[in-house]
Parts: sequence; C-alpha cells; structure tokens
Amino acid sequence: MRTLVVGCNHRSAPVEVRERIAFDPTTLPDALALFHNTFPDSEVVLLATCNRIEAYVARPVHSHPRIEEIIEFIAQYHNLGVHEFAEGLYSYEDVEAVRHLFRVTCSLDSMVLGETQILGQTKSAFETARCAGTVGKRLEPLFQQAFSVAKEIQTKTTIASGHLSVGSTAVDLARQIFARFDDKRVLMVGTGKMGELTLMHLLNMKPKQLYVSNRTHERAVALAAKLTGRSSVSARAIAFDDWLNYLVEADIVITSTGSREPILTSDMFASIPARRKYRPLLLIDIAVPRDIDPAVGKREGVYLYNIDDLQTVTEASLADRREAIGQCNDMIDANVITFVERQSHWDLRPVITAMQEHFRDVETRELERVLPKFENLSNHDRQLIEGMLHRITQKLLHDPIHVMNEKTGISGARLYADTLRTLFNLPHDES
Amino acid sequence: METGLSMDPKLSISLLSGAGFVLGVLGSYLERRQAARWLFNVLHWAAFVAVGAITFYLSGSIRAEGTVQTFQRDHSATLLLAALVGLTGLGTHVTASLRGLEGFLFSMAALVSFGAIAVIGQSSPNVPFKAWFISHALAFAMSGACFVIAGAAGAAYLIAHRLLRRKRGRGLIGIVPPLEALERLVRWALLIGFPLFTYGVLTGICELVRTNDPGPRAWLQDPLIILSFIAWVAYALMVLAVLFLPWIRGRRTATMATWGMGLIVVIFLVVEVVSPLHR
Repeated sequence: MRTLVVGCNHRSAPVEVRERIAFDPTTLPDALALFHNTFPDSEVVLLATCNRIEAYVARPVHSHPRIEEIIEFIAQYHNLGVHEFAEGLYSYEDVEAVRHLFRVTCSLDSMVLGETQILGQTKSAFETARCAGTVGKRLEPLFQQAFSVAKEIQTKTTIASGHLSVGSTAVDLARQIFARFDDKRVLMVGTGKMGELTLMHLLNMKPKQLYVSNRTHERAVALAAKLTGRSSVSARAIAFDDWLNYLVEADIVITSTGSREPILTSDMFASIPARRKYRPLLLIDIAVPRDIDPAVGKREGVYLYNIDDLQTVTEASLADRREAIGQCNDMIDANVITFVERQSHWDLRPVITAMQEHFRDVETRELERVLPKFENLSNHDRQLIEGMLHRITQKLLHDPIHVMNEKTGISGARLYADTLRTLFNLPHDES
Repeated sequence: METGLSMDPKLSISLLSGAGFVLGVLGSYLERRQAARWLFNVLHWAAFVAVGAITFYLSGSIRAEGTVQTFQRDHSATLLLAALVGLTGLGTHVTASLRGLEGFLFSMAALVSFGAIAVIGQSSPNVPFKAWFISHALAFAMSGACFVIAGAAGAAYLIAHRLLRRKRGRGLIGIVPPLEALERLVRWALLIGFPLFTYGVLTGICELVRTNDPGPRAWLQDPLIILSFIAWVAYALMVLAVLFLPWIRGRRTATMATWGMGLIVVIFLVVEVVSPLHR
C-alpha cells in the first residue's frame, strides 16, 4: 500500500487560492463518496480548515490514484483548471506523508505553533471519512497513531504550554492568584475591544458577578447585556462615577478606556486596600495610554499587569514552544519509524501468504504426480514422502521469509515483495 | 558472629525515609517539567514508601518497647514529625488547589528525616506517668508538623508572589499552588498547630511543677524552656495577628509563618545540643 498527501496550507498558498479549493463541511461526505467512487481501491480523508486543505490517500501499490489524479479530482470537483491552484500545492508520499500527518496533528505545521485546535479538526475530518466509509486498513491505524503521537507530545513536551493570547494569559495569571472563581467578582472599566476579549476568557472561569462601567453608560449597559447573553455570569452596568467604590468588592479589574490620563492613581487607591480587608487584587490594564498609575501595582496585595507585561508573558510562552520543537521532531521521527516498520510487516503478509500457497500448490501437484507411480506404497511410506517434501518446502521458504521480515522500511519491503512476485509469478493481491 | 556490615536500625530508617522523600521531591520536579510521567509515579511512590516505612518502624518499636519508651527517644518523635509532613505532602494531591506544594513538603520531610540522625541516642529521662508524656510528645510532634507545613506553604507563597510581582509568573501554574490556596493553608496550619503546641507546653509545665525537680531556678536556665516560651509567645502573636489584624494577609502571613518555621528549627537544634533539663 502507498500513502499519499496532497494539499496546501497558509505557507504554500495565499487565502485566495485556498478558498477556491476549500471543501464545505456540509458537502464533505459527498466529496469523499465521489472520490471513493472514482478510485474504488483507495482510502481517503479530506482535511479542510481555514489554514489548510489536504487529501490523505492510501491505495494499493500498482493502483490509482496517483498524485496528478488527486490534483485533477480536486480541480474537477471545484470546476477549476489545475493551473489555477496547482502552484500552491505540495505532495508527500509514504514515509514523508506519514511524517507530515504527525507534524500536522502535533501542530508543528500550524500557523500558531502548539495550538490544539488542529487535533480536534483532524479527528473530526477522520470521523467524517469513517462515516462515509472511505477509511480502511491503511488510514485507520495511521490516523489513530497520529492522534496518539499528538497526545504524547502534548503531555511530554512544552509545545502547548502557556498561552499565546493576551486574554488567556490574563486567565493564567488569575489562576495563579485565585484558587476558585465562583466567589470572585470581576469589574470591567471601559468597553474597548481588547478588554472585552480578555473579559470573555475570564468569564469562562464562571465568576460570581461582573460589573461593567463606561463613561457612556449606554455602552456599559449594552456590553453587560451582551455578556449576560453569551455566558452564564450575571453582568451589571454601573455608573462611571461609582466604579472606584466597586474596587472594594471586585477581585479582578480590567481597564480598557480611551483616557489620555490615568483613571486610577496611587492617591485614589490609597484607602481601597483597607476597605477590601487587604484581599488580593488583580489589575489588568489593557489600555494605551495606561489607565492605572504603575505606583498602584506596588501596593500590598495588588498585582498589576499592563499590555506590555502580558505581551512579554505570551512571547515567553512562544519561546518555550519553539524550544520544544527539536524534542517534538525527535519523538515524531521515532513514531514514524515504528509505524512504518509495523505497516511494512502488514504489507509483506500477502506476499508471504502467496509464496506459501504457491509452494504448497507445487508440493501438492508433485505428490499427486509421483505417488501413484509407486506400487504397493504403504501408508507409512506415503507419510514419510509427504513429510519430506513438506519439510523441504518449509526449509526453502524459511530464509527468504526471515530476510523479508528483517528488511523493514517501506522501500525495502516493497522491493523484496515486488521481486518475489515477479520471480515466482505471484498474484498482486494487497487486500 | 558480627559481620560488621549491619547498620543501626535507627540510622537505616532515617536514611531510607530521607531518601524516599528526596525521590518524592525529584518526582514532583519531573512532573512540573512534564517529563517522564511514569518516573514521576514511581518517585511519588517512594515518598509513600518512606511514610509507610516510618509508620512500620514506629509501630514495631511501640509493640516491642511501649509507647512511652518509643517517644522518649527524640529520634522517634522526629521521625513522627517527618511522617506527618510527608503524609500531608501526599495529601495535597487530594485537592487540585494545593497541587505543586508536595515538593516543598517532601523536602521539609527529607530534612527532618536526615535531621533525626543527629538525635540518635538522645532521649528524655524516664517518666513515671505515661499518659501525659504520650500526649505531650504527640502534641509537640503534631504542632511541629503544622508549623513546618505553614512554613513550607509560606515559602512557596513568597516565591510565587515574588515571581508574579516581577512579571515572571508565567508557567507557575501546576508548579506552585495559587496564592489564595497557600494563604489559606498557612492560616489553617497556624490555627491548628498553636492549640496543640499550647497543650504540649502546658503538659510539660504541669509535670515540672508536679515533680518540682530540679526546681524553678533551673527551669529559667534551660534554653529549651526559654526558647519554647519564646516560640509560644511568637506563635500566639501570629495567631492573634492572623485572626484580628486585617492587614496581616498574603505576603505578611507567609513571611511570619516562614520565620516561625525557622524558630522551630532553632529550637530543635538547641534541644539536641545544649538543653540540660531534657537530657
């Protein structure tokens, strides 16, 4: 069996090309069925995300489709000329195809290194193909191994450690300060977009209460209503003149106003810690210019992070992930070798079976031809002759089979298999 | 026939348990680094074996010699302290909010286990009334464990707080528990440990008054009695501060607990070296 990959991603082709050959999730089963009807001997999984479109195909060695035929299929399915998108395509075969799939599921080929969505997207594509009946004995173990490798890499390396967005970094910081969130109150001052995105991440932690304040009260009301609708957290708009008093109640404060001057100075904050009974307070200042005087962050129990601090944390996380690339590649290479060797043994089985049957046929035919020529042959002597012939064929087969099993690796196994088929005129049965 | 290769059981158990807790620390480190998960599980079991070994050793000693004889030996009381701290370290896995603290607790338990080697052979004089002594020794061991736990949690808090204030809090999750959980643990450990400590001190005073031997003047010359009193006052002030002073929170609570643990270490060293009354 051969394994092929044909596709494009965010690096090889611009979005204008990718969108032309994208597969709609609703019609993906039809595309799979059409592919399978066109190439009945093959297996196929189509992976279509916003950053990549790939076709993973497995087929018998001397069968179809070839890479050009896969590209032709994509062109015909989308009513395009091959020249309109072929330049952005890449293709891999056999060992490299396996390695590519492992790299994709482990997010080493993703736009955001270490992102975890691709694994879920690949699993979804695999399930769709499985339901469409286009996954067989080759792609099933390949994809299962890919998922296993991805999980191993996620748990054993730092490739997915930390977060790469400001919002999720803020959640990480909050989780390092607070053990639970169901009793915590969040205050948002200002309705800036970045602040809102950060808030959405925090709302996933299900705090007890959310307060929203803005100079334009209607905006605060609108944002509070929107957030209440999108999450199960109770959100309330408060007057901008009053937000300072809510610092006493709040545990996490996000500021994202357009103010040119700080809205919270050290003097304004002076009496707040005592009124809060010195509970810890996390201040996230997303605004530029900053909304909160840096001196506030020096107060006891206050943890102040501005946009630069959050960016520094996310960049450090990205550096961590990059450091893990070497380790990930090593693990992927090891898994590729293991998988290929295992598949090679599977691929050799039909040839070994065919050889054994061939020798058995020769043995049977010769016995049928020779035994009747013996007069008065006793059962004992018959058995001796049959046993001798059987042992001869087994001994003749032993060394070739042993050597073939030793020669793992797709190219080595295929070479031996093809040679033996030719030499002994064996059938090409790869089922 | 003596081969010369046998080791004192007390030395063996101290080394074995100390090594087990050290392996537990290593396992915690590997878990934080997300390396070799299977090895982490094995090393964590080493800490469990250490606690089990101490329990087995003390149980055997109690069966053979009796509770009083066992805990008259400072080595046994110290091992009990190490086991309590180590058990608490294993227990942090029960709650997700304290995950990451076990490394600190195992390291404290290892230090105490190895410290027990220094007091092999030291013992208190024979005491005629068993019940008070058993409760006296147990109270001190348990309160000591509470103070060590408070100190370890306080140290973890201070490290995390420092990293967060320096904007280097990235990657702390899973390595050190959240500050809120650590502060809560410090407060509870102090609140539980202090009554036990008070009970230990009171039972000691009652026995000294009852025997009146060697007399009050000697008491004031015993560094252990003086240091115990100082420690009691220090922890009393800590508990009062934690309960009634609202500004004693967070970093300040952690700092107090860490210094308190240092005081306990000093008392331990003084007891074993210079205290005449308890010899």
